[in-house]
Amino acid sequence: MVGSDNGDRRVIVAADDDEDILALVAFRLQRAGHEVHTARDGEQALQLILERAPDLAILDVRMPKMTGIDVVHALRRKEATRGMPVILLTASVQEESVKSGFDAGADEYIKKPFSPFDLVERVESMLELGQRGPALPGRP
Amino acid sequence: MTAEFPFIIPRRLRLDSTLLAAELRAVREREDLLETVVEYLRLLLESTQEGIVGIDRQARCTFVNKAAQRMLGFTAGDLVGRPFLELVLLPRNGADGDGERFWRADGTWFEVEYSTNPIVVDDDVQGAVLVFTDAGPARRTQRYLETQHAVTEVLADSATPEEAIPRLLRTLGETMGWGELVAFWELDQDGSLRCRDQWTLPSAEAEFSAFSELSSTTALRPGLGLAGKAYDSRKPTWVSIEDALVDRTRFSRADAAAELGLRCGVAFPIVGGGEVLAVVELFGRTLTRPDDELLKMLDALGAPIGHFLERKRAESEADRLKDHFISLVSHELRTPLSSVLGYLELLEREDVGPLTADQRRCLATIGRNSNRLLRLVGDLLLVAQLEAGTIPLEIEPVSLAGLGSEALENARPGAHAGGIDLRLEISGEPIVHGDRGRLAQVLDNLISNAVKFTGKGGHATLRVASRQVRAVVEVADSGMGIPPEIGDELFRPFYRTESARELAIQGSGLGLAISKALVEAHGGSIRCRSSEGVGSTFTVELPLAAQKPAHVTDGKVAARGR
Repeated sequence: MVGSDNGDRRVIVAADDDEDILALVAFRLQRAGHEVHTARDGEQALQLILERAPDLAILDVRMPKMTGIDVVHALRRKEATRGMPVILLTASVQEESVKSGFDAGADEYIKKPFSPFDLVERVESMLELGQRGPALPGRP
Repeated sequence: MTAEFPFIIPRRLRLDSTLLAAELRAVREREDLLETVVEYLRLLLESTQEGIVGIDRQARCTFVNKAAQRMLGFTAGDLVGRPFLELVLLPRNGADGDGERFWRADGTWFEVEYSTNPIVVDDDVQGAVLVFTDAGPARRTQRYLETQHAVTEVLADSATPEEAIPRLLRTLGETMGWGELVAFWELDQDGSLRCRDQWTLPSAEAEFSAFSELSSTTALRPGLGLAGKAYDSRKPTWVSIEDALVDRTRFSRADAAAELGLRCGVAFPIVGGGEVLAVVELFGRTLTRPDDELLKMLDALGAPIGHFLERKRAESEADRLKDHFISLVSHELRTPLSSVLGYLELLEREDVGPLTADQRRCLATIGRNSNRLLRLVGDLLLVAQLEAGTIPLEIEPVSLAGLGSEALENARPGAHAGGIDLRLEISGEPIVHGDRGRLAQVLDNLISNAVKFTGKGGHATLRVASRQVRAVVEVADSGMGIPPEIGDELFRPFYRTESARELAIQGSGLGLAISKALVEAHGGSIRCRSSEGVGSTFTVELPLAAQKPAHVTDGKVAARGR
């Protein structure tokens, strides 16, 4: 793992059933100096998050076993992960899923295709926001 | 009657035997004539289809013709000498006597039309003659026509079977004037008919609840029971409850039906797309058997109802496919494109190593085409969503002047490259309630079309203005124009003009279709005026926001686009 430019190394769990997108997300985050753990389905993602207690999770909405939205629901029910920043990724243009993602308690929603550089910027700004106070960044 | 025929022999003829004999002959001839007349009158009374009843001053029956006996189900022996009106007019079975129906010997009734004429002898009323007909058939025909009409109306303004079926059952029960209980049966997955819906008069719901409950828990195999027989035979079928009490294989719910005083059940199949889709059952207390006209009408009703159900089934299948298509395009096409564009960005930003100039050019081409593909996927999705009516609009006050100048700036690089002069003319400050992103898409489409179809040295003008209660946006170009015969075809999805194809001008033929649908979703309209070789003007009209808000906020979009 490459050291971070700013020395601010964070632990991130990323989950997507599309191997290539997952590798893209992991590659860019690692390039930015973060520690990334990956999962290919929702169940695996939830387990990984509970084991690793990451600083942030990036979850694809449509995944086998558990959807990203199901995982957010589960995280928000647990004391330890209630405040964890979560970004949902979706390829869907149906607004319903955006709405249910926010209803479940996701902090950010990013539509595919996305710029991997923008994603890293977003992650880092969310983590800084997370340090400022107990309040979660409000959704727009 | 003949025995009492009175005659008097004139006194002057008494002793003249020859004359007497002649007179006697004449009398016999008159007697014969009278007998003939009486017989003739009797035939007349018996041959008419109207019921004719004579009553005396005490309203006792003195005479009843055959037609009356047939209609009432009483014999002359039952009636003559008995109080006629009491027998036929007084209500039975707890029903109200309304003077509009005569009750038969068997306790059923029919709708009657009758008239009475007093028999007056020497200013003294001796009795009356009552003439009546069974008004049922004529009124039934009228009601059957009304029923058919009402059913057609229900089908015409119901959007779904779920909406139509309860209304159909009620219409059948209320309009036909027969059928206190109406039930709808459908084949379930294991091949049994099950009762999906029922109707009774609200006032009778409690009374019929046990029977309704029994119907909804009964499963009938095709061929069995009333509904099952109608299903199997594809013809209206009926059962007499009285007969079914003897042979319950005809109708297993006979005991419960008999308890409610139901006398007859009729079932008819709903046929659509060549198969029986459902069966409708009707039960009533007044008929013992359905008339042919009723069966014919029910047979005829099955087809339009079946056609409706079949059409709605096909539509919901089409909707399901469309939803599936949207979801497939959305996910399965955008996911690989996400990888292509994401990795492309890693390469272009030299995140994975330095690039040569040639490599950079190649990557730029890949990028341009990937983005083109992404736009096409987006447009296809939008068309599908607009057609399915599932496109959500985020409504906010939008300044069209601001939107217009942004759209023009976006188009400027392309216009510059093509040597086209872009102009903006704004008068007033029209504000509309709309989805900023979607309205921007409309303006982008129109301006980029104007640029695409205008040659070097030409110009394109965007005009934004308020006109009474509407905001007007015009995009005028000095391009090749559109042949007048094309008309509104221009706005059809995938439509491309011949010249667009010949000149290989890039485009999917979706832009104008999308623009039109988006404008209409905002309550506006779009039209095109064009003159070949001179240019085209597209005019969009949108309702102005009622009042100009104090400040127009930019809507913050939660999700980021590409």
